[in-house]
Amino acid sequence: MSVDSIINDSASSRRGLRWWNLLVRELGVFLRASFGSVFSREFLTVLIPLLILWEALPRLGIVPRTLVPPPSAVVSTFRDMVVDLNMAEHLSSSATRFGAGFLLALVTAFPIGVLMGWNLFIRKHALPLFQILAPVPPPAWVPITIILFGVGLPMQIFLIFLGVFYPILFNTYQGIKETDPRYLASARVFGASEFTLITRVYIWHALGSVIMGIKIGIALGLIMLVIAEMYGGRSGIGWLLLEAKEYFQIDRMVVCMVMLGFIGWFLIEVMKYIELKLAVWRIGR
Amino acid sequence: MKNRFWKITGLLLIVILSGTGCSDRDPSRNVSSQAANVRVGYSPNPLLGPLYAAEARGKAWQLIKFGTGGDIGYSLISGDIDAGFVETEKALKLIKAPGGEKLKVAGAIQFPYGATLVVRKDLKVRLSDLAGKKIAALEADCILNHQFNKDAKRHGLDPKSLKFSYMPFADMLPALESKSIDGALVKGAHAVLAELQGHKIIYQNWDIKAGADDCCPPSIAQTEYFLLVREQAIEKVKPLITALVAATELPPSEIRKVISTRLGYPQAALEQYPTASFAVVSEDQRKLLGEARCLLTR
Repeated sequence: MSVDSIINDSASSRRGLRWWNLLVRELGVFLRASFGSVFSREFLTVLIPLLILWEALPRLGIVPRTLVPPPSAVVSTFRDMVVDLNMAEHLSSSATRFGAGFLLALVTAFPIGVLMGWNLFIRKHALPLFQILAPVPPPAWVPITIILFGVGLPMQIFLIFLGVFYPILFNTYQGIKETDPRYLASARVFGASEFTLITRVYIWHALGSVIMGIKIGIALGLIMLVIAEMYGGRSGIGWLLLEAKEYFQIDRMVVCMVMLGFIGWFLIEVMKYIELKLAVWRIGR
Repeated sequence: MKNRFWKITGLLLIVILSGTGCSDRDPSRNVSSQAANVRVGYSPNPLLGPLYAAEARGKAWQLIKFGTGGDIGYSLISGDIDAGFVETEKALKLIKAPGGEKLKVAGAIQFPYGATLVVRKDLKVRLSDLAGKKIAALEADCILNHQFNKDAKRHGLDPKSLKFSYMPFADMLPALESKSIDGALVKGAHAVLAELQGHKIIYQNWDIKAGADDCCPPSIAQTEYFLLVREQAIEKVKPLITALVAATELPPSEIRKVISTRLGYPQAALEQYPTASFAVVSEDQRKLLGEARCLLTR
């Protein structure tokens, strides 16, 4: 083994170790920020009494136990569902659908929003169309979507896309439009091109609005996920919820509702972490 | 001045709103709403021909449309409706679900069993061309499969060349629509629904009767809907049950006519199929469900 290869190996292992340490550190920051907000003293003073009430009322017979399953029954049903119904596969199906629809919406809505906010000509031609289409509730698109795409994955992805698209579009547009003219003037004084203005001034100024739009899009996208999984396919958390509803399995319904809530919360925490890292000037707001 | 303007506007609004609340109502509406106090839930389906025929003969009950059998079940439990037609599998779960102990099975909508192979509307194939295709079936060891395998060999198709995917009947049409399967081996009732959705029938055998195997107990296999009734509404619903039995005696052409009028399907498309019938709870169903869960009207 030559000296050079030994040096190279040790340098690459030091790089690997550095990346690993960075990953562990950032994961710690993320977990502290996300779970820290849930397990804070203030929230626990609200959460614990609610959980106790939820557990006690069905056990005491004040509400029917079978219609309002207590948290202990929900946990036990969740365990059974993981074993009997292969929850991992359903989660993976839902994640695929949601991820595809979400990414499609992000890569289309963000550039369109930037262009509309940046350029008056584009805004005057495109914005009225989106303002007319946006108030149409996404579930109303279901029949047309079935005609266009048939029943299946493309239709499901399109429905989720519709739910996520408009919040990102309008929030991006608004954030870009409201860029402080003083920043633009300062940048132009230093010879910034329009492209530099967009990438170094407009987008960074609008970052907070964009992330807010993404958070709203996540919530609407999850709603559309449940609606999309009603049509075609026999997998996904939304499908499990609807099957449980159709076959009067209320405990399973509650498990699916809690899981959807948890997924939504987790995705929003991821966006908060991204905002923490990218929009440092907004810390403390 | 501004204050007076708002006061006058507010007063006008109150007068207008009060006027709409006190408008003359058609007195006959009150009478008919009292008479039609039997609320019956259903989800539109051509298999509910006896129900449409009974309604068309002018009986005083109110049909409430729902999207799914699950919604009908929850409305029964909450007391919003007095009776409802719920799909067989869901009804069996409902009577065991919380709140379902107050419901009784009053009868069933039945349809001849049969065996039908339906293929996707976009496929142009015959029975002998199906080798390698993905076909949905209820179970491997089911009378439908056995009969189909026998008949398929006679028509030049090796059943072993098919890729079977096993799922409940209710999932087969959505799977056809989403193109995750190429065909489905369904019972008679689902053949009607499949063809009305545009899919093609390439094999049919009405001689098969349910009951020759464990997967399809006859009292359940040929039942498409159970009529569930709330305990408190049993007396009110008895005339409906009588009307449903009478509607079943009507000529099939009349039942097809009301289905066509009600749901918009062309009558010609319904001609090739038998019609569904309503029957009160049978001895077999009583044994299966338990006497306490059945409304016996005989």
